[in-house]
Amino acid sequence: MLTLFSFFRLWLLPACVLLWSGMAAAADYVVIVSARSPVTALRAEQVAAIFLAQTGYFPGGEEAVALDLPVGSPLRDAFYYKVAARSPALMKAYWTKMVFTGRGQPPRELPSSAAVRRMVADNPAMIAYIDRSALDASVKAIQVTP
Amino acid sequence: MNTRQETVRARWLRRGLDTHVSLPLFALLLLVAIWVVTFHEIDAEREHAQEAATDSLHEMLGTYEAQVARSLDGIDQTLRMLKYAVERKGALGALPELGREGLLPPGVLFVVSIVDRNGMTVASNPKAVPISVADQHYFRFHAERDTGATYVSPATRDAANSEWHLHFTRRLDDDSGNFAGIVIVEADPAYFTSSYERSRLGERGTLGLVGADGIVRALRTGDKMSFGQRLDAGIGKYSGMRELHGIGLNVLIGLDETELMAGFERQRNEKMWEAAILSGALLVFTGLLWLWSWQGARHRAHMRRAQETYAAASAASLDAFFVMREMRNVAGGIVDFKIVDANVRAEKMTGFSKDKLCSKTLCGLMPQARENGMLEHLVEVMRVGGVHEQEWQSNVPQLRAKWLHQQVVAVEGGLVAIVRDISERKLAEESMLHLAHHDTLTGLPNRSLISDRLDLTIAQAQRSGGSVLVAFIDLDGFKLVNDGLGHNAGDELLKVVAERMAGCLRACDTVGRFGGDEFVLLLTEPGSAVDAAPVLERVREAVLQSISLCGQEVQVSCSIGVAVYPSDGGDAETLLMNADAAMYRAKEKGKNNCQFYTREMNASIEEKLVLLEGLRSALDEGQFRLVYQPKVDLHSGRVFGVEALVRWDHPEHGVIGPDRFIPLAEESGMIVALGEWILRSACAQNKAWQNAGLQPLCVSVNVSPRQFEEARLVERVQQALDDSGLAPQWLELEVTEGVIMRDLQQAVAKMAQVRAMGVSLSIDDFGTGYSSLSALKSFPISTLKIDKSFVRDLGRSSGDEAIASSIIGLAHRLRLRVIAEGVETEQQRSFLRENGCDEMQGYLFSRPLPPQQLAALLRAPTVRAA
Repeated sequence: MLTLFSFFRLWLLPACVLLWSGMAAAADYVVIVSARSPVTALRAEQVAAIFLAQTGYFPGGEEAVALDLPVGSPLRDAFYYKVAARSPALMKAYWTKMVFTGRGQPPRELPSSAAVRRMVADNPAMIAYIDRSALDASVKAIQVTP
Repeated sequence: MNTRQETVRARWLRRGLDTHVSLPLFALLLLVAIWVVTFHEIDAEREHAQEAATDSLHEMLGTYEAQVARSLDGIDQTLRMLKYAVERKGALGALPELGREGLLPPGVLFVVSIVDRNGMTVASNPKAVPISVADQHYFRFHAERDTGATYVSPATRDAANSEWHLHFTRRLDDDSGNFAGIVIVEADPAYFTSSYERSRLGERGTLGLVGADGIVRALRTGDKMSFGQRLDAGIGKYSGMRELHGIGLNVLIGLDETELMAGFERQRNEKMWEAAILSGALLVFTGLLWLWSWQGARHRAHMRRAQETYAAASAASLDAFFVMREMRNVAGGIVDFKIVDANVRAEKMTGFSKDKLCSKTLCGLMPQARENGMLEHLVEVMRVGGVHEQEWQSNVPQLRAKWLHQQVVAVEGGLVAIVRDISERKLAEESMLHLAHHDTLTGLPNRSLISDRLDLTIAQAQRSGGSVLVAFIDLDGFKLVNDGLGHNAGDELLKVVAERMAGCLRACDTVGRFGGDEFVLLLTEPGSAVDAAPVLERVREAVLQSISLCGQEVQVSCSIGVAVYPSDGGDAETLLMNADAAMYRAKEKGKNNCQFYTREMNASIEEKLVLLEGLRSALDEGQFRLVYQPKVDLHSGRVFGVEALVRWDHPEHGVIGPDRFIPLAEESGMIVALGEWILRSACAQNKAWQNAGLQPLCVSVNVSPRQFEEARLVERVQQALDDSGLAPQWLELEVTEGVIMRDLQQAVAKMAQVRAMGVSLSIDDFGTGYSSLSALKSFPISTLKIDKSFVRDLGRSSGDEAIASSIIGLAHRLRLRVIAEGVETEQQRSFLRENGCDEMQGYLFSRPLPPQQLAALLRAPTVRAA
């Protein structure tokens, strides 16, 4: 909670976002890559850079392709809140500009954590977040350090 | 006139060239230039800013158009893809199929929906509640016609999506070509304005989409989003709109003018400030420079005025000005002076023009300056400083003046010499000095010069051991010539005598006139004083030569008194005094002789001084008394009168005769008071005798020259008679010839007055003076008295006898009585009686007697018979 509070202080998030975060805190996501991927740990901003289409590569130089869960899923909102410190509205504004100006497209959306896990498992370039409960050996959770 | 105009023009030109005039003009020009350039630059900037704004607008419009076109193209592609998928897989299978392939647009931005022919949404991504859109405009639009194109609806809201959205729709057809529903891509209007960037569009820029129908699909102005309205306001100055073909949309970009021009405005302000500061600095700088130059100009004008004033003053000055600059040698010593300026007087004095003078040095002009001390003096002045004045006699031929007065003032690096020609003044001084030291009449040295010379001569003699003779010369009988022939004759006589005396002298001797008829000789004699005696003798004889004055031969003599240095005195004063005393002795010795000073002379002078002193108090103290000498009728032997004679009973010296003190009384003026006393006493005594019963006598009183000339004589005589009560016929006044002859007319008038009173008059000492016989007849006198000098030798000198008898004869013919005085012998009485003389007085009959004895004598009958 202390971390959340400090985020609030840092980003001046509206009260509703705070309220929503409190609720979303129940959803526990995990960032995953293919089990075949050499990546084991990334810093939060490195993860954010890939998910916000600011880079197409892992820090090691391998190609990186992000996958998203559908809009409105609590896990998605929690992820972006945590990794990119952006609310859904801010994420929408971000992508609006990125897409309109042609600088990037949001990650492909898959309907569920399981679908995501399956796709990641097959593709070593991919990176995504899934519900911790959906985690299995086909993928590996990587450590996201702040 | 023409010249004057030119001068005016020249003056204006000079003023224009003056820095303090041209500087402000130049500064003004510079100021104008600054502002012209500034405004020009601002104009250029504005133009540039406007061009840049237009360019940037067009560029942004292009960019935005491309962005919008691409987005619309993407949306259109999605719609086509949907349509294709629906037509292939059916409404329900289409979206999952596309989703699998990853062909659906990102749900975060776009909502994709499929609507059946009844208007119900059958599928959407992201998932949404199914709603009916049958009454929506876009649905009806597609249901009614098949355009084959994408329709863009204005922003709407519905139950499925509560936010405002633009709906991009496309018609679905079934196999037979009938309306089968629509596919929708919904997008937030803000999506199309998301490329708004503050850095390019500013805070109040405008960006948006406007439908061909004029309804705004999406519009962002600054941070404000709007849509749905009609674009009513015309587009602004910096705005552009472009049509997107085939979709019925226009892109719009507007820029805010104030924002656009803000940079320019800032720049403009900066430039204005720069220009203002530059102008201010220029003004301040010019002002300071002007002040400085104006002060300089004023200073120069002041200097010029001072110089002009100096030039005018020096040109008009009577003095010559030489301005000189020092010239030094390598050792630093002054070796010469360079003339740098001179005035008109200096030109006149030197005879050189100013230019020529200024090209010369002092020693170049006057080479003598090195020898005669002039240069030395000037160098000294430079060393000491200050003002130095001196007068000097010029021996420099280059300066055309004999005497010069110079004033030298040391100034920095040189000196100013002010030289005045004082020759005339010196000449005047010399002549004044000559006048002061010489007698104007004879041209001989006067008393003061003689004294100086005597001092000098004495000093010389003291050194060389010689002797000096001081001879005091007084002319005898000069007074007679002066009185008788007039002052002009007297002056002429003095001149001639002076010439003669000068002619007798040796080169080393001096003759001077002391005043009146007194002359002084200074004779220097290296040996004995006696050696100078011939000179004195020559002088005496030269004077004695007769002189022709006014057609008359006149002869005068001189009495000379000599005092000798060192025996008769050690200083000028004593010598002159002693010489004077010796001269008096010479006079006493019968004139026309020369006496050397002896010590006894001083004694007589001392005695004289003592008497003179006693005389002052003698009258008050009653030391005078009268004695009376009887006058006897030669025929009857009867005493008919007496002559009053004065005696002085001096308390120390005993009885003193009138011959000793009367001249002193004459000299001192005491004679007037003494004479009056005698007159009154004699009258009173005569009256007393008459009162005592003696037979009446006539009393004779001597009147001295001074007494006779005194204005109140007649008054005094009358007063004496009145006071004593004596009848006038018993008084007789005896007057000397000389007195009468001094001023004949006045004397005769005065005698007539006395005679009119009834008082008799007689002429005393007849025959000794220069009586004019012709005048004698007009004198109102009754008696002539024969002087005792003629009587003395009667019976021994035939000459005197002849004179006496002639006087007696003459008097009788003029009906005058004759009395002889000083008759001492019987022989004299006999001669006088035989020759018809009327009366006599003298020791033969009686010496002068005091009043009591005389009374006794008169009472004794025996005497009468004598």
